[in-house]
Amino acid sequence: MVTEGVQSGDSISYNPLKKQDMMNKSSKNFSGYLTEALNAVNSRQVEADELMRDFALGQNQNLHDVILAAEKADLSLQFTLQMRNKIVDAYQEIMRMQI
Amino acid sequence: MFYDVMDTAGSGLTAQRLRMDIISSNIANAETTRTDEGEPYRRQKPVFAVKNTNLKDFSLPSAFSESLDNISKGVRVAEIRRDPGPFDLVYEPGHPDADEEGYVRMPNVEIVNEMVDMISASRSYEANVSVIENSKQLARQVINIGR
Repeated sequence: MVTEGVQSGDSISYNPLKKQDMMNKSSKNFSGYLTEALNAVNSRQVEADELMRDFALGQNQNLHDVILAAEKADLSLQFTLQMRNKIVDAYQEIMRMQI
Repeated sequence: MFYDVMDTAGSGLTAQRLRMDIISSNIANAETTRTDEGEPYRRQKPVFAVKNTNLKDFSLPSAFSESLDNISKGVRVAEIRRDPGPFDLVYEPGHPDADEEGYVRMPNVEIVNEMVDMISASRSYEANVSVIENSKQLARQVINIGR
């Protein structure tokens, strides 16, 4: 059995990511992601709200649709809150850094 | 994702609720001798079918996408079929719908069968609710990891 050693250079190439590449890859910045996520949560809340109103008006007969929409909205909100806590924690950690 | 589980189990809830509706109609009409078709009420029964959605629409990890292609995403009611079975003949000469010999055709609804069906429907409904509760609990536990 012939094993070949790892040849330097050609088989494994090391490409460090340049700053320019990273900027191109994620054209969206952080606040863009956050806004998008918040909009998604908001649309779930609005959907749950509309279903609740329809049910109260007697236009929707399926109670579980309403409950499920409310539950989804609640889970999304919990997830967003958790994300916000993490981000604020990270920010405070950086602000506490000794200079 | 957890929301997919909720949608799938939610379709089960919708289907079982509709089954409940049909059972209640069967029980309510167990003595009905007149319908628009000119014959006694026929027992109705829902026919369930799988609901397939194109999973390519969902953002799934590529490792799972092939095996998940054939998964159904819930249940739907394909049709509501009428039971073609024979009507009960009851001797009741005073009945307005009795024929010349005094026999009345009664609906082919068997109350006992409907009761058993009702228990089955409510148990299925409870099972779907359990699925939703469980997936909700899992999602909460995942969120609590970060806490």
